[in-house]
Amino acid sequence: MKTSISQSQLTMLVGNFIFAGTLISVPQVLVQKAEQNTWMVPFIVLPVFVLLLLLAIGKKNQLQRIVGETKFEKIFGFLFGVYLAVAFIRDIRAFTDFVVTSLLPSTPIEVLMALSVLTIVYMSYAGIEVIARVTVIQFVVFAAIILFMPLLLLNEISLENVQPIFGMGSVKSLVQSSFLLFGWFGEVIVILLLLFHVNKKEGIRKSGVNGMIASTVLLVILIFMSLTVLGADIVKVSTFPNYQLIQQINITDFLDRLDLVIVTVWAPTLICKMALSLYCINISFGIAKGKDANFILPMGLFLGVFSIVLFKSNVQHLEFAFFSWPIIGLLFEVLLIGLFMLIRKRTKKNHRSETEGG
Amino acid sequence: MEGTLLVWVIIITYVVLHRKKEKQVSKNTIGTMMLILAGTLSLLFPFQLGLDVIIEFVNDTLGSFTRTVVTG
Repeated sequence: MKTSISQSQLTMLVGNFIFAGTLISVPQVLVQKAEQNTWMVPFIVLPVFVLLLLLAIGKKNQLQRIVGETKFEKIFGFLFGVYLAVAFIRDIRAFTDFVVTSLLPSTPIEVLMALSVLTIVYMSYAGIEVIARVTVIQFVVFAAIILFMPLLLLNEISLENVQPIFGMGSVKSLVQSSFLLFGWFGEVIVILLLLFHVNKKEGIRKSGVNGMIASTVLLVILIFMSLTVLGADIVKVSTFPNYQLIQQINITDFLDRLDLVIVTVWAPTLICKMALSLYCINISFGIAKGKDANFILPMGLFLGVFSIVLFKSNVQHLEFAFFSWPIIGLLFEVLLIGLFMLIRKRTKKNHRSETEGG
Repeated sequence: MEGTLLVWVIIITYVVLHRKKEKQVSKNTIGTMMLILAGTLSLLFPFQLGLDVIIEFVNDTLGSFTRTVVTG
């Protein structure tokens, strides 16, 4: 199993990791706060995490593989595993809820969960390189569809829906809305586990930032289109606003069910994201153990079952994703970045003392 | 139903991890058989776990905090 990826693959992995999960329902809660100005929210969040990412990664010569030798490394691995496990549970439940609500209403959620988990496990077993290759194919196609979306929806756009732009009191609502997006955007920290799989250390920071920029641009386009086509009043009450948005595409009379085609492209991007999560969970717990772990199948099945047993209903899951995740995610992200910096500093110090001593 | 699922996942996990460790399951056949029996019984008498109280608690505490932050 090869475990090396290129920088462009890292960019796509990061972009897909942030974007694929965020687009399901998050725009709804963002619009509830910032209304017609919501499309600006990702632009506010982006610089914060670019700065945090640059701080965390530091200089390329300070990067060394984390294998779980010291206590700090083990804690880092364990916390990262828990963080990704919670994100995995959240994502798989979001995916199965979406399929049950919109596509297969009479299929039991347990069956959908089992099928999704088995696919994800199969992908994760194949390794980072396979995950990266599949992600590149799916993400590029999906990004192209989103970039074309303004053209496909040209006949439905009404710019009055995003006016007034930046009215009185917008700053407060934008900041509040940004707070809800922090936890989701912070998932970029997965790059800290992928750093050591990149074949060239030069330009890793650039790849991470490019991935974030790509996901920000795509998210802004989607939110802007949702607002202009559906209007803030509909988006704030719609569980799957982007799905509702793509249902509005009707080019002539015979091309009016493009939503299914687009969902067929989107679903694999989310599966790629979850496969990467599961792969990284395995790495994290391996770091915590201090040796290579192989928990992919059991962990996937456990987390899949937990995605059903932990949430009584779709409403409880949405409540968790909208209001609990921003806090949980942010806490873990800040903690993990801090720990990574600490480990990096200690490695640098040890390296220096070895050089001076030897 | 959810309890049944969990029991079967525990069985699969046990078998997979044990096989990885020992390269065979036969060393602890009784344990495996007991687990499979438990799984079969849980199929006959499906049970609920009620673990959703965890998320309910998280939503009531952290979720409420976020609500206060974004509305305050």
